[in-house]
Amino acid sequence: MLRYVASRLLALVPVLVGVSILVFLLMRLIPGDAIELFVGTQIELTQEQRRELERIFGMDIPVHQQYLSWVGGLLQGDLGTSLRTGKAVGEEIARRLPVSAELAALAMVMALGIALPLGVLSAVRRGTRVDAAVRVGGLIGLSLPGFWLATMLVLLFSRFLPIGLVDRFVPLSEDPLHNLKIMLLPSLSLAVAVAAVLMRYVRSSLLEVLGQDYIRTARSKGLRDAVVVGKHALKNAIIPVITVLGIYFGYLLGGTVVVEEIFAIPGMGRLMLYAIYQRDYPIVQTLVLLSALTFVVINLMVDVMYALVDPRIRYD
Amino acid sequence: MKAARTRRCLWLVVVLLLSVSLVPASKAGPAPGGTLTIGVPGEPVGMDPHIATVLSSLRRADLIYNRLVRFNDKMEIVPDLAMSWEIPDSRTYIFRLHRGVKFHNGRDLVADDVKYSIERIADPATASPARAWLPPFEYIKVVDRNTVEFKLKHQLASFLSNLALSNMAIVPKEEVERHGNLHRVAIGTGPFMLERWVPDDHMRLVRNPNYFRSGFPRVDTLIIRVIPDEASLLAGLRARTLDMAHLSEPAVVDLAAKDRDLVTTQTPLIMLRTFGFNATRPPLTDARVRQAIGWAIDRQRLVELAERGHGRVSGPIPIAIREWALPVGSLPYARKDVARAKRLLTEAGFPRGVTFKIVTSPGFRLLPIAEVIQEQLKESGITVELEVLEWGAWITRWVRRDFDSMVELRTGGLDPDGFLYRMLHSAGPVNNFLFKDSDLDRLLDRGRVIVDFDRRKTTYDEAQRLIMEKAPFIPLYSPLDTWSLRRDVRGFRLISSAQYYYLEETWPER
Repeated sequence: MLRYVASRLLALVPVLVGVSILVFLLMRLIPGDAIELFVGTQIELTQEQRRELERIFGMDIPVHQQYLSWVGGLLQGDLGTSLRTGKAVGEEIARRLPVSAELAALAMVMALGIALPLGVLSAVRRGTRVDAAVRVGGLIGLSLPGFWLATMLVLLFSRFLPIGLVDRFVPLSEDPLHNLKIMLLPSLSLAVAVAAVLMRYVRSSLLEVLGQDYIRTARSKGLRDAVVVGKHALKNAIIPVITVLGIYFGYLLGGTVVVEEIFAIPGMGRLMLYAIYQRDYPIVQTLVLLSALTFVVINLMVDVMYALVDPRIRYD
Repeated sequence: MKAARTRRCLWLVVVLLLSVSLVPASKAGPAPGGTLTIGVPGEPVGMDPHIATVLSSLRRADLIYNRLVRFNDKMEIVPDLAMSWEIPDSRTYIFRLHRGVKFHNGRDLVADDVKYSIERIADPATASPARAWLPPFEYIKVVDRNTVEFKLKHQLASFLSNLALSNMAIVPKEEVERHGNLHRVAIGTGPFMLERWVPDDHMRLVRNPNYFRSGFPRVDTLIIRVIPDEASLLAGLRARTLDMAHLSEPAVVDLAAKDRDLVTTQTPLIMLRTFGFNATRPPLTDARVRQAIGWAIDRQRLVELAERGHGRVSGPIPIAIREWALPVGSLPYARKDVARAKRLLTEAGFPRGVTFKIVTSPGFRLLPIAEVIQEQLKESGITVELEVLEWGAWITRWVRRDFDSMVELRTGGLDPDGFLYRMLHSAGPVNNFLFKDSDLDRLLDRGRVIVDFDRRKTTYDEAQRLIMEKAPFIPLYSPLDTWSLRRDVRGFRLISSAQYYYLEETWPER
């Protein structure tokens, strides 16, 4: 197991090098450049001003040297300076990553809290009205675009229950209660779509397991329904759900952009969005690298978790 | 100039009388202290007032720094750091500074700081966008501790009004030298001091206890929160987490205006939406084709459709520059005239109409305007294709002058010279229309240097008519600056330059 994990971690290196080169070049290949965006259209951009800004932005050296100096900095723990805010990239990300991670984690917990009971209910009561209602609900949840839901929540709550809404952001560590109040609606609007997907997975996966012989055996032993489903069936049914969960966590981490924008939460999504708008190269590069890293690590964790849940799966 | 000054004095008297009679409540004395929280959609990009190009950065600079002069809410030039000034001849400006003004670091402001700041802007190595607003100087002389004299190489009629731009902040030399620039530290003489800046979240400013205008700022703390989604700005107002918010999305403005807990106020900005043409791309090389486009557009209808009516149709000088802008009704294209548009196209040799492209982008409401134009032009046989680009790509096309036509939002100082010269003179630095007309060049050159108000007015009247006739662009409208305030917010004044310094007089009454 340990050797497996170590070899997987080693395989990360070429992936990350590849991603870093790709994003570095792509950012510079897309139309529009940082200096033109900084200056805008209503101001004269003379050659000398351009040269001066290139020096300030560190763009006055050839591209390969820029890349090497960036990677060199990375290896020494210096992620560079944001062109937009003038603050250190590392500091900026360190402040934002926990916010997005908290948002994603809360959304995940909420999604599980909705999906698990409803999915089980729907599977156990297969074909009944309850099942139909849950499935229709799931379809609606899946079809509601997150940005729409978020905006509607903002408008509704601002009219009828304006508590904690668009309040100034406070980190979890400073004031947990206030923080949770602020995070409630954003994580709910993220959770709904994920819950809908998860619920369908729980339902179909549980149905498949419930049709198997050992479940019939358990039933014929006279075990109560709750024990059959809760202890024997669900444990097996949960494996595909964990896979989906892992993928969605990565998706949630990167997909919080719209929700962060609407609820004015200073997370990674907004950092990325504005960095792309402004061609804030150091930030975009670091964030893409980081999200590639997150995806790979989460996949690895999911694989390890398989082994923990299912003793038949071993990595030797 | 004399006439103008007399008129300004008269205005000032009227304004003073009005303000005394209309707002006794605010004179009665607010409870000092407290916190004012405002919501704005944009985050600054850099904080150095001399280098900043983005409006959201300059709006923060309005609160942290002072300039020599500033505009009041009637768009008249009034003292800021300069207590008074003299213009003995049209190339000499002598400013006397307020005494006892202190920087946030505790040091007294002296005339040297003014000299240093203006020279820093003028120095090419600073890469200041405001450099273009300054004339070449013969010298800048420190006469004494509180007096500074500027000698211009040649006349520049807009010099005084240019000094009121947010970029023209007076900064302390030692702080610039210690930190290299003012991107990370913000130390000025302004009403507020920067305490904390958390990008994409909020900026916390605290009262400058040594501020030279006694009694201001009214509040102890000013919190500026960045909330990009405008529906959320409105939600923040309703939830009382914001005292006031700077809005621009027309649909949200309408919702705010209907809300009885809020007061929503608007004023036209000194900005201009233009529909501009690349004068080197056929068929737009022919002035008659451009005129036809002007007659084919119903500008009032366009404002209603694209902005829900939140805009004022304007001529080539934004209507908020009241002394200079000619009334729209007296200029061409005041009323849509399809027959005339078709006739002009036929005369130009295009009886079956013309086809060209608008390069546009979803940002800054450019796209909806382009769509309305596309629809309106159809009726006159003009076919327009839209090319929709991401913002960065759009700017690159602008810089390379690679377009047939573009909808833009133009800004350009607070004086007709600042607005027109840079945009339309054949040597203008932001003349992306590549427009060249020797008659207009002559008028713009003259308007630059004439100091006498009446003669200058005649020149710009003529220039405005000529611009409409040659139609390098069709001026569409001036957008409105919109603030929505909770009912208990007092003392706020809107200003067409959209500068934020009146927040020093604003407080929530609790």
